[in-house]
Amino acid sequence: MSTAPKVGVFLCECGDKIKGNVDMGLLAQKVVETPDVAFCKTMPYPCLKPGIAGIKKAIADAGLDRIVIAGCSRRLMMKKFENEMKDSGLDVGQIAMVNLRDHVALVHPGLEPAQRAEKGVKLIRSSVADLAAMVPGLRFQISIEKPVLIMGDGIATYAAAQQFARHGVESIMALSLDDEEEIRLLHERYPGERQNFGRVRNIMKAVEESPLVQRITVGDPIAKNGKTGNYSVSFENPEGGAPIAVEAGLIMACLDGEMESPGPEFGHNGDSVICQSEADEHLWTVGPYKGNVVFWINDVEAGTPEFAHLSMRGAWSLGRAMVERSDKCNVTIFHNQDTPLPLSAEERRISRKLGIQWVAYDGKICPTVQARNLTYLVKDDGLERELPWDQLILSPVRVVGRHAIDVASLLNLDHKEGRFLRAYHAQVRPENVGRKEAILAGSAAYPCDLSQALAQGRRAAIKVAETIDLSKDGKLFSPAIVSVIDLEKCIGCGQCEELCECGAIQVVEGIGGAFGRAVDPLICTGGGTGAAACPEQAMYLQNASTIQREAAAGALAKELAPGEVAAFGCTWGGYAAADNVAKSGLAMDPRLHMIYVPCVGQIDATVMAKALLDGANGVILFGCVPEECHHSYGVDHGWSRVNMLKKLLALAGFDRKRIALAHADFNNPEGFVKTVEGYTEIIAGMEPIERSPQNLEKLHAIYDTTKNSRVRLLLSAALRRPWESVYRGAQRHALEYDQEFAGVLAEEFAQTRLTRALKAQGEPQTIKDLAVHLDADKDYIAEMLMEMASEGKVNMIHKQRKAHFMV
Amino acid sequence: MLKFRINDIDVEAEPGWTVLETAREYGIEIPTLCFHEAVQASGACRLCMVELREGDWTKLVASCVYPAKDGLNVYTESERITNVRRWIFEMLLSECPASQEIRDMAAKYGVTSTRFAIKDPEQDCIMCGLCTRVCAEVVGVHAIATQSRGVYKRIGSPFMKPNEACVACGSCVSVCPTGAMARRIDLVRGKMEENQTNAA
Amino acid sequence: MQQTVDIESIIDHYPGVQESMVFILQDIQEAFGYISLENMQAACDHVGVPLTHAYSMATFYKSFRLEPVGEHEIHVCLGTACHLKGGPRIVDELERRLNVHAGATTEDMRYTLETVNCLGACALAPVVVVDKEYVPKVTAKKIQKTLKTITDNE
Ligand code: SF4
Ligand code: SF4
Ligand code: SF4
Ligand code: SF4
Ligand code: FES
Ligand code: FES
Repeated sequence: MSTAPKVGVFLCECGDKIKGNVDMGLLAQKVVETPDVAFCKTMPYPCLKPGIAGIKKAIADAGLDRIVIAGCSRRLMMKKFENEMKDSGLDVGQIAMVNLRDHVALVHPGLEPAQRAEKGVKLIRSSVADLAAMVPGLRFQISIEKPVLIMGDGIATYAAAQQFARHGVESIMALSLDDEEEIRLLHERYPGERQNFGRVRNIMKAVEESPLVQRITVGDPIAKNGKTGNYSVSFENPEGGAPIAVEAGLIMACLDGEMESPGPEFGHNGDSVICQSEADEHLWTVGPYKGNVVFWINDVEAGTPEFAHLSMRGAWSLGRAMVERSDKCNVTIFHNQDTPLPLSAEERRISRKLGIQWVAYDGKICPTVQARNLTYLVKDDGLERELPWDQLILSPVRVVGRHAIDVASLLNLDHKEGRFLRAYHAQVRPENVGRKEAILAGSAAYPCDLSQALAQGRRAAIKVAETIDLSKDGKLFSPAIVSVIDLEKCIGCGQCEELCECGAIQVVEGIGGAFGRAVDPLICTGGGTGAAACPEQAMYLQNASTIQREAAAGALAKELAPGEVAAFGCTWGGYAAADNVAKSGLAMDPRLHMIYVPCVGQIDATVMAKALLDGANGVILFGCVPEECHHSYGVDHGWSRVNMLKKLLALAGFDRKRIALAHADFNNPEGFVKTVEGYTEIIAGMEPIERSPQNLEKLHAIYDTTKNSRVRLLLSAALRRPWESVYRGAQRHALEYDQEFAGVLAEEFAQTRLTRALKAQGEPQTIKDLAVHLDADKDYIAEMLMEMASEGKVNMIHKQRKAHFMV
Repeated sequence: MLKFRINDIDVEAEPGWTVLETAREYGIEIPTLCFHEAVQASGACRLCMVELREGDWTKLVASCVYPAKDGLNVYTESERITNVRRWIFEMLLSECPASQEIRDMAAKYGVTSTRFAIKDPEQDCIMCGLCTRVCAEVVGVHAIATQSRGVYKRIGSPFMKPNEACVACGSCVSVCPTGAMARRIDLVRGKMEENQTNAA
Repeated sequence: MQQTVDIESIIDHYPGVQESMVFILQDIQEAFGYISLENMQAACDHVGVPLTHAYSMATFYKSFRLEPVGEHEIHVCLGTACHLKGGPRIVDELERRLNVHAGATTEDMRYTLETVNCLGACALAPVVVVDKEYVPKVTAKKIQKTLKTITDNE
């Protein structure tokens, strides 16, 4: 690719929607004057076939290597343009869109067409600057030649291995139990499923006979290294001795959930009141109970109604087995009326024949366990009833066991307290969704019954095998926009690994023996939250880097008039809300100029500082509403960064309100418009920042401070982690931390200013000179300088018996 | 290059373009409803009807799906077209009387009342299918679909419950011409917290 | 006894291709009497289509049910002929006997009572269809007998 970027800009008329509202002539003229714009054309409909053909021709004729389409919503149109432009040699990231129609043409009734054109130019220039700053990175090709490793001891292991064998894919089952032990565990983990054990044994046999499946016996896993195509995993050696190392192309985890006994609040005592797992064991070791056996499906009361149908199935097959084996037991299944009967018509007939009773209670009042009786209500009846029992069997409590959690965290599948492993995963665009779901099977992912667990193993194996097929055909590529780590810069602090929700980042042996980090480009979803958090800026988002964002922010800021505001809006929240303003027939304050970002968490603090430095008097970030961010809590990260900027602004003597964070929902454009108005009013009501040398010096220092490693590391450490379940994170000593952080910020800010001042002056300075120059307290300056001198950041010399400092 | 005429103007098109696309390229606007630039045209609403003339013989076609051909003679504003449009707007007014957007659009073409019986005064969706098409073609997740048929036809997520497949991108809301999807989306996307009812 | 229905074994019966969907849905309906969200999801995972696909299909064909039904289905015709010849009274009678509203299923999941719009058997009016069998010229007495036969047969 050529080094000098050639940006083409295509202006939509969109029928009358844009042409009728914007002075297109003026717009085109100003766009042409923009640096880096090699081509500009106004078109009736760039997005329709004639328009697409026109763009392609222009790309070919003018040799364009990146294009901006100033039209409408990128959320709707971008995919079409990306698909169409592929054969013109433009990949994702080389095409940008500016929403001229919905952010400018249709929402500013108070402006003249020429004024709208002026605003449009600002947005387009910002987008051009972004693209021009891009250093195009190619997609990574991934090849998978080694076998698949199946770990985690789950029963789905066997089904997966069988499927791999059918598919002709080599696999390694790393198990710590033998087949018999696995079967024994099933009683506990999948109660009431004995009728399916035959099937499990058949699968086990098929797997044993397959030459493609290798079985190794291992202890606990110790470590995992490498990335897709090239993993190495080590396990403890059950026989003692050296750890067992396994090389694999892909890793798949089969993890079974565990069952715990319900607490005493339901009367559990391990004897007359037990849970289904215990009942299963008793049934097959001792035999059926005698007398009135009551299965209480208490999942609703235990707070997990979603598992009630599983418990019902369990109760049904256990109860049935009991009655079929003994005529001395009466089985009643006692369930909440809101839980539908999970039986087929045939099964209901059998149930009636066997005399199994189904009693539905009204959950308005929680049934109470009493000695030998359960009291309850039925629907539409106030009468308290009693159900006698001799043996009470409760639903098991389903949990993710310790072992499953260990394996999951080894594989970077973050476990949230109280959640199953298949927790919500950021869905960006389907083709960008990480492989997390595909590599996980079993009831630890989400409670399921035995045959579902087996099926999950099989299906996950099919998905994995498809990936392998792609790689064999040489067609397995990463997305264009993924994070990349520059190992020269990486200090191995591990912040990115902790913050990444996709599990894409792992340790590699770095240069000079330090443990750097590397990104698995096949798992990375390109959220960019890690890159913005990296203390050393070692990690960057290729084809959508912070450098590009800074260029965009700077270019916009330079164009803004004093009362105008620079904004960033995310795909899912802010930008989408703005897209919908026109649709709802609303108007938007024209002073707001919004730059698109995939997520607010992708905006590095340097970008915010850059906007302020280059001319913005107010900067606002529009993210999603709390807890709705699509990218590893990016909006929370934005919060932390904005608050850092506020502190820096205050230190420099500027108004903290010059930067702000706001939340927006795409389906609430009214609310969005109001928030916009509120903020633009605040900024318009303030005097603009006078761009005097002193102020510029301070703004520069703010910008430099946002690049300071110490500051960045502290900031990253405070960002919300994927496992934290509260907005803005659940830090232990949040206030204490914040006070300390404020102190560090003040220190680093002052030192940055001093360094800058010394550099600018070029000759040794006295404390007094510097205090005057920076308009700061002399004692504080002295203190800072002494500290800097002791750290070797400045040199102290004596001239005319006075201390002078220089860099 | 295909050559034909629209409103007596000579136009040129590449094979594969539709009459609508060609007309727009020449600055001739035809009203549309179920058409959106982001997705494949479906030809469902018939609002984009144009008249094809050949001697005495004339024919009405939906321009958003009708391919450009050599020698066509297209009229976008003839009397017949005006009548058909009125008729379609009246149909729309009877089918989704609750949509302000539709009322506004109809009023633009001078239609403010309908001769047809109003089946459901609450109805705001015209079943144009833009939302489901954008969800499938652009977002790629198929979180919503057309369900049932005949008079029971409606748009939504399976079992009218929040669908885990929905990524809450709002594309469906943005393309919906009647505003109906804005009122349905909360049921489809649910609350993210609820999507993760994974509490152990 | 191996009569337990297992969704996985229904699914495994068919190849994981789109064309299987309608057959899988039919089998699920046959086995469970209706198609639940969980079972539909399992079918979609197997075939590799989004849930909406199966749901649209299931709601398009009238014969698929998405709510649990009773073991026995009773349809009372309320077409014009049957209406005139006392269909509504039959509905009342059944509602009273079964303690259920038309269009609903008894709490013990044994009976589902529905009304239909003309079964095309006007000559036999009033008509009731019990588990796919036509009962012509029904009277309150006949209903009682039919219900008894059902219980006896079980
Ligand atoms: S891209 Fe959007 S703004 Fe441009 S012509 Fe197409 S629909 Fe109109
Ligand atoms: S945050 Fe940056 S410096 Fe730290 S490990 Fe990740 S890439 Fe390396
Ligand atoms: S918001 Fe949900 S339903 Fe609507 S287009 Fe996006 S994914 Fe589809
Ligand atoms: S909700 Fe809107 S987009 Fe979807 S079918 Fe109805 S009118 Fe069309
Ligand atoms: S996606 Fe909107 S803030 Fe992260
Ligand atoms: S716009 Fe052409 S048929 Fe609807």
